[in-house]
Amino acid sequence: MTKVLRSIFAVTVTVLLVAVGTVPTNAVARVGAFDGEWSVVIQTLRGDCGPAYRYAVRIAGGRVFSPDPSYQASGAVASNGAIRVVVSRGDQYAAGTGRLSGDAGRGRWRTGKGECSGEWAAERRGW
Amino acid sequence: MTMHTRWTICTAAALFLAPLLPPSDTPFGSATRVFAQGWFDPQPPVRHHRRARHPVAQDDAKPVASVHGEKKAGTPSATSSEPQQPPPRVTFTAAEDAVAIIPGMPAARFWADSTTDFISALPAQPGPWLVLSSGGGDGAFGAGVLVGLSAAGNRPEYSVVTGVSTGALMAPFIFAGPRYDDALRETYTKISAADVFEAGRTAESFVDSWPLKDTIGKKVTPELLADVAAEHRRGRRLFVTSFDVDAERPVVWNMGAIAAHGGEDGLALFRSVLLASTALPGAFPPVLIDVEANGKRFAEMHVDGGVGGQLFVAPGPLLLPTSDYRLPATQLYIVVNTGLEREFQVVDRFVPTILTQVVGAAVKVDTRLMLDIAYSVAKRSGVGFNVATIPPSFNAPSKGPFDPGYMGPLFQTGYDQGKSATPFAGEPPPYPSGSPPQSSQNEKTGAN
Repeated sequence: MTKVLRSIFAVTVTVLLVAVGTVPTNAVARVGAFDGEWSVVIQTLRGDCGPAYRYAVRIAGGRVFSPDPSYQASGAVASNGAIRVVVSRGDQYAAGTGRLSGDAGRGRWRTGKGECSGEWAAERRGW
Repeated sequence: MTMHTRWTICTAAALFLAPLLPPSDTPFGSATRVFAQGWFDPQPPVRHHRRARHPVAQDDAKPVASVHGEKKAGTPSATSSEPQQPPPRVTFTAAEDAVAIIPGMPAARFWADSTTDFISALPAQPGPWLVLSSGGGDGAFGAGVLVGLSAAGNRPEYSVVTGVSTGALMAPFIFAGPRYDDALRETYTKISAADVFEAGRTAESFVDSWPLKDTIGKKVTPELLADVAAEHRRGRRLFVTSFDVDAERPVVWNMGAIAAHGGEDGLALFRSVLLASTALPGAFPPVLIDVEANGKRFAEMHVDGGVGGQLFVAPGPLLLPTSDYRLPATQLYIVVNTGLEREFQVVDRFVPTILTQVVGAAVKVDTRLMLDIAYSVAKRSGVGFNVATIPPSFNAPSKGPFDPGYMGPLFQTGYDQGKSATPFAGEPPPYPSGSPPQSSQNEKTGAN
């Protein structure tokens, strides 16, 4: 995989960092706690993955989805708002950690092989 | 190829581009100005060879409110990837649209092809005119030029300022005077893609422009509106364009008149027009503007003013070679925010990559032709012609649309040019020769 493709993937997966979790099923947030339409800003602090982008994310029933068919995601939010994220695309993946609280959230992310890393911040914009 | 045909291609391309966008920090377009402009590459660097299937089963379904808080006609699953449908529009006729006005603000606008309305809207006295072209994030160049002119003490008080798309966004700050130079600089050097769009389809576009709407809301303050209104009352004019999709007709907005109307509705319309003027169809949602005709209220659909032309000097009929119309200006200054040089890349055999390259080329051609027309009209009018273009030597890399790391150096390039002894050329730049065109600094390969 070329450096370029890695960087593409890095940004791709960051789209979903906040959206996808590997939180155990029994820790999934109470239904509705974080449900709604979220906007997530992904900022690259290290690596060649582009400066900052914003993504729409939907949380429903404590699980997180992308509203756009071009993202593929699966995951959930823990009842205390903790989120651990794994995003995969083919054999590529990235991981992130963070926490949602009320109508906001933030955390960190890095690509699977460490090419890029940075921070994310989220805000809930609707229900 | 006619201008209409070119723009049909542009618009159609935009419609198909966004959902399949190529990576912008890849060989497929990172350093090209088209990508840096953002309008043709609104998505972050994600490569989609085909539309992904619905990622999840549609369980746990429940209606979800719009991000904008609108009542939606449809109630898709909360996990659905299908955008929610907006409410149906009020229907209206071409005759109604032809006479529609902004309620309470009849002087707010006129058709861009209306010669009589244009002439009557002009200042009573001739003066220098400033024309600001489209260009997306490359508007950093034009902003830099104007701030540089201020720094050198060489910026005249333009009697007419026109703006299209990004040119429309910067126009109010320039029109209101150098005291807004800091705001102009900040807008074009500190902004990022996150301040302009949000990835995620809407029913009307492939990304959502609510971040740009918010950004405009923060930048276009009541104080700016008051200052624009004051200049309008002094006789100066600020025009920006949008394109009425329903009528297939460009519109000129008399922003000074809107500002002079003032109030919350004046401020709201002022901001909406700026959003509309930058709403590249397909990529960004159109902007619906409430109007009234013969007592009937409905909403027109407006998109990027560039659909009607990348820069606006005067209505088309007045620009014809057969017209004897003379511009009532003392000097014509044009700032071109689109790079006119060819930019070589081996184009990937991938639909969006092909369309992006083609659209970028078409915009350059359109800009170039309009520049040539403006030059002819200026000469015919006995008006001094002055044009500032992005120097071909500028080739800073961009990691994607609205990359501050690219826009900052481009602003500085414009600033240096504006502050120099020769910020403008007296005629359009030469057409690219047969020599090898400028190329991206990134890899050049059609392979993945």
